[in-house]
Amino acid sequence: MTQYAIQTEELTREYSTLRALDRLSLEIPAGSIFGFLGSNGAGKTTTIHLLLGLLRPTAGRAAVLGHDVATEIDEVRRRTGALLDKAGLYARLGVQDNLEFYGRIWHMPRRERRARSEELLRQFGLWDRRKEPAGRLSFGMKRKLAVARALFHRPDLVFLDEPTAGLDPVSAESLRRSLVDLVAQEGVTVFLTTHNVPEAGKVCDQIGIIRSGQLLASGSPEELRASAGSNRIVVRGSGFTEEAFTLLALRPEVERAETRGGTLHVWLVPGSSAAPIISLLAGCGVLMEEVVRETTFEDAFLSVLGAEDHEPQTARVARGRFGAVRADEAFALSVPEREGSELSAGVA
Amino acid sequence: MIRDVAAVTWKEWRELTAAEGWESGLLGLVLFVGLLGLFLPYQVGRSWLSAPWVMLFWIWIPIFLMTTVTADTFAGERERGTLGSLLATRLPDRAILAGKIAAAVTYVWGATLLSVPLSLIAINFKAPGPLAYYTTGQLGTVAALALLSSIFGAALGVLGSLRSPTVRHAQQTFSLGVLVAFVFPVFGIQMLPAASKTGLIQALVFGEAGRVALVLAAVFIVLDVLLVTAAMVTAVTAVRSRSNVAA
Ligand SMILES: Nc1ncnc2c1ncn2[C@@H]1O[C@H](COP(=O)(O)OP(=O)(O)O)[C@@H](O)[C@H]1O
Ligand SMILES: [Mg+2]
Repeated sequence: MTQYAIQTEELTREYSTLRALDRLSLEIPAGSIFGFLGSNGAGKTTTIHLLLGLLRPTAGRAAVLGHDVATEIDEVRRRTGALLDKAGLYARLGVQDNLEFYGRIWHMPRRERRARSEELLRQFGLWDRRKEPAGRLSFGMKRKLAVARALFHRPDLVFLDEPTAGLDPVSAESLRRSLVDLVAQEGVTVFLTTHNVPEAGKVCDQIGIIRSGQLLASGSPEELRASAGSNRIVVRGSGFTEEAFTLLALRPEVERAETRGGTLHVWLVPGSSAAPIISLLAGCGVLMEEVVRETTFEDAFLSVLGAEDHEPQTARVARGRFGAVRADEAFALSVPEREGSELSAGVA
Repeated sequence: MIRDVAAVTWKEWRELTAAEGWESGLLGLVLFVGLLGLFLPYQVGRSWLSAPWVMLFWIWIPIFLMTTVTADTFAGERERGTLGSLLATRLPDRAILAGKIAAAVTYVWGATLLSVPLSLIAINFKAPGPLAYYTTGQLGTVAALALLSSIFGAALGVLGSLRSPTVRHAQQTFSLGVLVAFVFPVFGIQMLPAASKTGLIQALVFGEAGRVALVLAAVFIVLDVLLVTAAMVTAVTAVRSRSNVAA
């Protein structure tokens, strides 16, 4: 059992009428970067809360680093780090003091705390701002600091709930790069959630795709790509006329077709041949410079979800007096934290 | 466990004295020390050192500072979204509670002790003559009573903040509580039979300070033990029930 960093069996969580997580069974090997990929409301945060004992499962079991979360949660929390959906930095404390606090929590000796905070702050480009209150950092820097804090005590496993959400592409890429470097150096197992498909394909060696609380597929990006089949033709050239599209739409094996900056992309029903399509295109005057048959990770993801409903799932969003309220905001007060613990009770 | 409590206390102190937002904290502290260390002793004069009823000030005034300090402890973390991350760390519930209580106690008690030397200055300034000073016994009594009442206020305040969704809510509850706690004894005394009423007032005005202090200390020791035990037991039951995952 210990060779798996995380093992869940039919893990289920219900909120009154809603099943936020539906019989999740997962085995995540130690040492991997596991990406939990799904739209908003899919059940990613719920899963992390269950694995950290902040929520209790309605049914099922889970073990983290070989410790049952129901009976040995202290041991789980001792050996893991977490960046939760609310980053939870202390805005009034200095950047370095935010790390210092976590070092004290994990009983790190003073010298080690110093060295570790310098190492991480330099790695994330925050060293020059170490004395400033964390609240004054930019959004992207706060995210980096929160990741550094989650990794500070060298946990065996770290949970990162949408670490790059809300970042501009450059900051997101820089955070991803620092993260991948650190993981390679320190051999920490990572459980990260994301709704960003290319990110999962780039960063993770194992991926689980979740929708409405159900695990739809899991495996390495290559495996997922292979199982989706090579079903896309990419044509570089010119002369993609209305007529060509109309004819394509009539072919039963064509799922959809679109142009993207000078290239034509045609998605085929898995298993069908490309040759008739190419001759059809040639027949209606399309000039082809290059034709490639490929599958991206994105295609694989969409084929798993079923191309028709990859739109974000808007699960029962509460409506306030002033119109729609984001689900997280509406639940801000009721989100259980260490469910059953007095420290989070009395508010609902 | 001690290191866990110390870690939380360290963080609380850092936040209480952080440069950011320190203005309002400092204002509260200055007002408090000004009231208890300068204004009141100046008004009362030399009897500030010896009158038994003055001990009620040393017990009562720190409660005001306590409400502002403790309102933020849990409600503030909840409001600013830091509580979830704190609960995901290895800290036991009990250590988080105890650390927050300890920080509030040391902060408020420290401010109270700061008022002691100031009050001597105020008294000697008001009533010149032979130097007015505290005996060791009087000093010990003031320090002990202030500590006991700080523990009482801190445990009550932290538990109250734990049950409040927002800091504002906690502050409103505390203001109400302080008002009730003030009005109740005043009316309570009116209700007493005439004989006991004069007896009580006589004890507070002309009584022997040492004996009054002992009674007050005894009351607060009982209250403190009850409250702190309640706080720790709630946390312990919570820890235990956490492992009984609903099937
Ligand atoms: N405290 C709660 N009460 C009721 N429903 C909730 C609560 N927290 C989350 N949910 C619902 O559970 C589902 C899964 O949420 P979540 O795990 O936060 O999704 P994700 O992190 O993938 O965006 C959503 O439909 C969400 O609205
Ligand atoms: Mg989420």
